[in-house]
Amino acid sequence: MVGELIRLKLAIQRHTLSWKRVLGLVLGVVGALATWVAVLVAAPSARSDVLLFVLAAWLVGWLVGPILTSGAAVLRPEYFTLLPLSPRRLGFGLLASVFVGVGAAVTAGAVLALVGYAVVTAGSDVASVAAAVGTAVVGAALLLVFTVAVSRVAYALLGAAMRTRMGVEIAAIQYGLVLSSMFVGWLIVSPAVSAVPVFLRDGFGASGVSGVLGLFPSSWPLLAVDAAAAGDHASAAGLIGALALVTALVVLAAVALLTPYVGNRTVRRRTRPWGSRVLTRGRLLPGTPLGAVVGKELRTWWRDPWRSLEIRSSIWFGIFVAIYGVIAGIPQLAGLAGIAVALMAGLSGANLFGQDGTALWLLVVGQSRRALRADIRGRQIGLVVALGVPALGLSTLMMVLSGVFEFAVPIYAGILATLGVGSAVAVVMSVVGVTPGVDPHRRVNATDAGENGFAIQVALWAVLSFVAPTVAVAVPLAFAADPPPWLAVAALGVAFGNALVAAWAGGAVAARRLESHLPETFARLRYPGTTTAKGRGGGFLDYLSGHAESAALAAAAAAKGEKPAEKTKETVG
Amino acid sequence: MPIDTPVALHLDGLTKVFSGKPAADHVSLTVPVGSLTGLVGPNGAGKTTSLAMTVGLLRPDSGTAAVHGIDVWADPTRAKALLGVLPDGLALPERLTGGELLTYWGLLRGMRADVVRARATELMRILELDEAEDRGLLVIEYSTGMRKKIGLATALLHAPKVLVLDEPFEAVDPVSARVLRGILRRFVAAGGSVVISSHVMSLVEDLCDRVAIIAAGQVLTAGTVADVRGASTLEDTFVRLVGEREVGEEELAWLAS
Repeated sequence: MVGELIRLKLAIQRHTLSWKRVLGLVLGVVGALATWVAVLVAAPSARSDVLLFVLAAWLVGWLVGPILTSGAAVLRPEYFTLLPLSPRRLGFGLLASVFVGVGAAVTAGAVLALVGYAVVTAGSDVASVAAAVGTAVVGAALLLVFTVAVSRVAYALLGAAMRTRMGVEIAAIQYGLVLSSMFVGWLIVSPAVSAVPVFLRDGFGASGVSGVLGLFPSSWPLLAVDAAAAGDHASAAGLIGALALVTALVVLAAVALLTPYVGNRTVRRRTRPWGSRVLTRGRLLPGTPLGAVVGKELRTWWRDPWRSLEIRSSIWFGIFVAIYGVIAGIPQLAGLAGIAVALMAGLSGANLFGQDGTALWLLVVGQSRRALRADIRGRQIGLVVALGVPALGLSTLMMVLSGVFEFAVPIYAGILATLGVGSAVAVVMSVVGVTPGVDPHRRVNATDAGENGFAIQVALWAVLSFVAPTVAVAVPLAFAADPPPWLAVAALGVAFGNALVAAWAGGAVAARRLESHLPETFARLRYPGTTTAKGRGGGFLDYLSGHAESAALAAAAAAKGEKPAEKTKETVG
Repeated sequence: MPIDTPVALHLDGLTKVFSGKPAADHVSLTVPVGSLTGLVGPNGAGKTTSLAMTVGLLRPDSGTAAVHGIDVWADPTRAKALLGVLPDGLALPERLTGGELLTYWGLLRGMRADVVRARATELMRILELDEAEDRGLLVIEYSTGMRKKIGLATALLHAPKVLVLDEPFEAVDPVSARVLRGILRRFVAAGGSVVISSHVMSLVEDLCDRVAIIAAGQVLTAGTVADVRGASTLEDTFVRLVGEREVGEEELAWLAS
């Protein structure tokens, strides 16, 4: 059966985008070579620290990798639900199929650097070289199994993510890390590059980092090789035994998690949802179409795991931006965390109709000018509240933590303008770039809500362009040696005006476009790819619309062979 | 006002081609005021496509539809105000409870909050969704039959003149189906008009006074149930018009082995 699964996986992979496979292969080979080079060129005293670090990096790569690559879950356990196979056999088979692939091959090449390490550390005594090399081979094999299995466990938890609050949080942390690395990762590249020669010479020194890294299972085979080379066979055996034990546990966990899930698809809930006694209690929001849409949007942002994921990823994106700032020695950046969250309003909201699945039919059959406008305006208000509250809160918290308050006014001005512009860009892109996902009651994976890389990119550049008036005032304010007080007032005023004008204009454009293209917008969700869904006319919005549709169809086609993790946020930036 | 014309719904040459294959081919049908019309046809006959074009969900390649004389595609806001629609298999605002969904929908339609609350409460009770509402069940947690019922409630909430229901009885339990039939009969007795699509001949024969048989995107026959079935049953008439497909003696022989 394992052979069948492997053949199936390879067959599916043959249909995936080839540049991705080539890129993965190149990166993997470079990584494996770098591991060997690091071992061989590091100073003898630093060699152990360097390899500890590199092995830990491989482990982290396998933990984060699944959300970046599409190969992780080529074979979904759910595909095999109806086969007469025991769950455990299926789990083992699926786990085994993961070992056939570029990732496992290059990782094997990398962890075999342990053997190189054993040879160069063990000295000239043949017995100790033999012991060290033997330990290294066994350790490398166990480490490979451990790494791959732990990655599958992480991925399975990510797949289960959308059923639990904790799972949503884990997925959000991963997205936040990836996004922040794309936006501000370069901040730490230069300090990191300049630190490499020092690191290769001195290792971690007396910093205690190696002690902490030593607790990672990825370090145990290395420590075992050290012990074997030093003649301490009991410690070596103990470390290898411990690694074998955790590997066995992780493999069992992976097998258990790689079984088809047939239970409830929604987050488990013990109490009534907040604010759900609408038929018996008083209303907080006005009893108008606008009040109705705002109420629905706020409830959805709060209750829908896919919408929650957008908010939580945005918050983690902001937190990681702050952390990168601290690492790069610019703690003042921490205050920008809120602007990062606000920036996500335009990107997370770029497919609001798609996120609701085919529910747009309600608006089509209930069509009236008032209802359409209320829908657009209500979605804007919902988006501003859902991301504005965490944006303001996070920036304030970061300023309190870092003790740097001198940039408070430009930061708040930035948040205000970015939210307003974001709400405008989001609704325009939601209408012209509407992208179907899996219908809400069939969603399983974090990426099932339907994302459009093209629309997100356009949204990003549009937000950055339309906040220009605020940037023009806020940046001088931030960097002036002794800014006059009126400049602070002006910055807030410009930001407020910028936000208001953009939000009003964007909403008006979106509402007018939706009104003239209502059945076509619905058709893009209900009958994707048919001529019915094609836009009409030759304006700029039609141009955007056409491109967004092609991007959506290409993503959908690619996803047919390899459903999850294909339409991830990697297209941002 | 053309509201007084005796025709509730008029489908006029509705045509839709999907990737070269006509899903609806000049579908024309007249639904008189106060009638309960059943639209029957085999899978893929074009029932859903025709109804989607009738209620404004799908723009026809040619042809149009009118509700009480108001063209759905020329004056959609006025026409749609008269329509109550239940589509088949589409999403709803899934993370709302049934009560929240009806409240949202009523207010969006411009109804007064107190009217919405009173009607929503009554609909939830009659459709036996009140117990789920007490538990705070979200629409996404509803069963298929419950989804049909809450969908029907959204179609009824604004007291439309014409109901267009796609497969309203699918997955609905027999007790709820009785309630549903009662609701539709009362609606018609009060001067409303109903179009339903269904696969179930006996249901259409029992419930509807008019029937249209549609196959391969074309209306094969339409009229009162008595006229269409003549001396035989509706199912026999249907099979005679649509064409029979018997399972031959030698086919699937392995199934019994």
